[in-house]
Amino acid sequence: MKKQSGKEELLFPTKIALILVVPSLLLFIFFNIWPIAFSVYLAFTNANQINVYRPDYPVRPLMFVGLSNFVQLFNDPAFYYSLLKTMLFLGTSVPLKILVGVGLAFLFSSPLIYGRKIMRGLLLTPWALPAILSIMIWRGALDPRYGPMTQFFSLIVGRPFQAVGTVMNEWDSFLAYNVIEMWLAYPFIMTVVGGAISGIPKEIIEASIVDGAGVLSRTTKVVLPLIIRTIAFVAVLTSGASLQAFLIPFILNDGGPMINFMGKLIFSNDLLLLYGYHRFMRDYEWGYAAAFYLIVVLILSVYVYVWFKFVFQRGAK
Amino acid sequence: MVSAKLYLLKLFTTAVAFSITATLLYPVVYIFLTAFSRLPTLTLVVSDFTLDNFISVINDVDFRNSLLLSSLVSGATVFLALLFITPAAYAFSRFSFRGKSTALYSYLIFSQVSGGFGVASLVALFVFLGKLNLVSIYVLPFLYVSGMVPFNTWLLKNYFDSIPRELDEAAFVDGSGWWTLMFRVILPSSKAPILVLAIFAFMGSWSEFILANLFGFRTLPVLMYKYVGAYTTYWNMFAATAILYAIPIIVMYMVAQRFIGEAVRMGIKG
Repeated sequence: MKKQSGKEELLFPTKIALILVVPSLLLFIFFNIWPIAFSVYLAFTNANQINVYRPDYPVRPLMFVGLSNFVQLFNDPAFYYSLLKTMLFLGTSVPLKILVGVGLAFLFSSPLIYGRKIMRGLLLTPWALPAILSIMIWRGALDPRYGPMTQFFSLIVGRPFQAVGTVMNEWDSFLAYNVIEMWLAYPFIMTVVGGAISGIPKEIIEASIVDGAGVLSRTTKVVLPLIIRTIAFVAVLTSGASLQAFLIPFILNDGGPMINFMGKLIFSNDLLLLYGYHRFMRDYEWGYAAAFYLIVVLILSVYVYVWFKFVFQRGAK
Repeated sequence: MVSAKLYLLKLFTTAVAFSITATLLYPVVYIFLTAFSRLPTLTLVVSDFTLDNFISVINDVDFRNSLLLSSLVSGATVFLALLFITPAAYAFSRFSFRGKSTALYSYLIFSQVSGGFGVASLVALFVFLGKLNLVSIYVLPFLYVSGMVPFNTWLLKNYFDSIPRELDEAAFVDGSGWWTLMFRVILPSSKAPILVLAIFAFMGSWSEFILANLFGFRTLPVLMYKYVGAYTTYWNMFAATAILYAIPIIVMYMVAQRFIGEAVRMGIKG
């Protein structure tokens, strides 16, 4: 942040600053912070789609239920399944994104490619398209009958690939989520890591060539240690995207096939945010959904704390 | 000999790079070509090139209504974003006031988890907008702008920081009033950041899906979702709609390309 000199404080009094800042601040608080505070209230009630608007409705009138939403939540196998799936998604999608993004960054840092700039520009296509459109395109690409990528994935899994449509496979869907998440994220990783690679002084590379290092040892022993911090930085950032994945499972197949888990029929690929959305829009258990989303807010706060400590503050130094 | 070897190596790496690029872009190329096909299925080889799909999409009443709705909502969002965010960012750049760094840090932290918090607050938002009778197409742009405040204030503030403050100080010392200062000095010298804000606001509202879908407003993304979710999908029609939908975004992407990286880093691109 820029230093403020005493002179400007005189020139621009606080009152005028507040007039300029407060409208947008109020808008932000009203539509973004207030709903989260309001969730705290809902989380302790038995709110549903009727009693919220008509508190005296004879069936299940609106009332405080104490911690019972949370008790229900922590006894719900579907909640644990969703949590587990989200953590698994974090554990698989982040390495995949990093691997592809860093691999592309290395490949396209090589001067041995004709038309390198054009191809690199074309590879940024996922950036140019809205995520919502990209995911719909992938839904088409994975269409069981006509999907151009379906055959490719069928070859990989060794049987018809079923991520979209009336017949779905739990782990095919999960694989599809990972691939789409990678596809949406690689341009960012490739660009940032590519920038770090091109920022390495030529002398270092040349010295390693003189010392007789081959391409492989030059890459792993000289270049990689110099960009490992950048890779760690993008890993934390893209973890945030994986943790907050909502549109991918929602648009692709609405949480994948139903499975029977511990005697309960659940959506097998309800990632965290989508799990709450289903409780909200399918079950109409609004109090329960609000309680669940408070837990999500806590989880995201832990993530943002990690981000602030290890990316923002270190990056700023 | 050496140059022949190098030539072969170059050919080899180019082939590798090209096949990777082609594989990654395969789904998009496929959709693009399907838009020109008479068959409703997805196809890579267009045997029967036609523009009929585009013509029937443009003549479709649903598409026209959605296009109009999306354009109006996006236009209003751009206008409101400029109205609310530009003055705030300017104040954050030029003024010193109590709570300034707290507000900026809060914005920055919030923008990292805005997507997740946005979904997490949907239940409460739905309830309290419903109770206040605020579920209306006129409120939608305000909702969009409120979500854009944290990141865009931060972004715009950084641009204002790079504009020399001597400019406005000189005008102030000359005795110009606030009005002159605002419209004669500050705004003309900050065309670039304001353009970036307008583009971001447009891209954000044009591609917003979750809120529009929840409240049942048939903007273009919601309409397309209805298409792909239908029992029988006419992929050629979907593809033509998708191309028409993507054109303004791609044009703006080309204008604002160098700012997109920053947006993705901050986790706000939709």
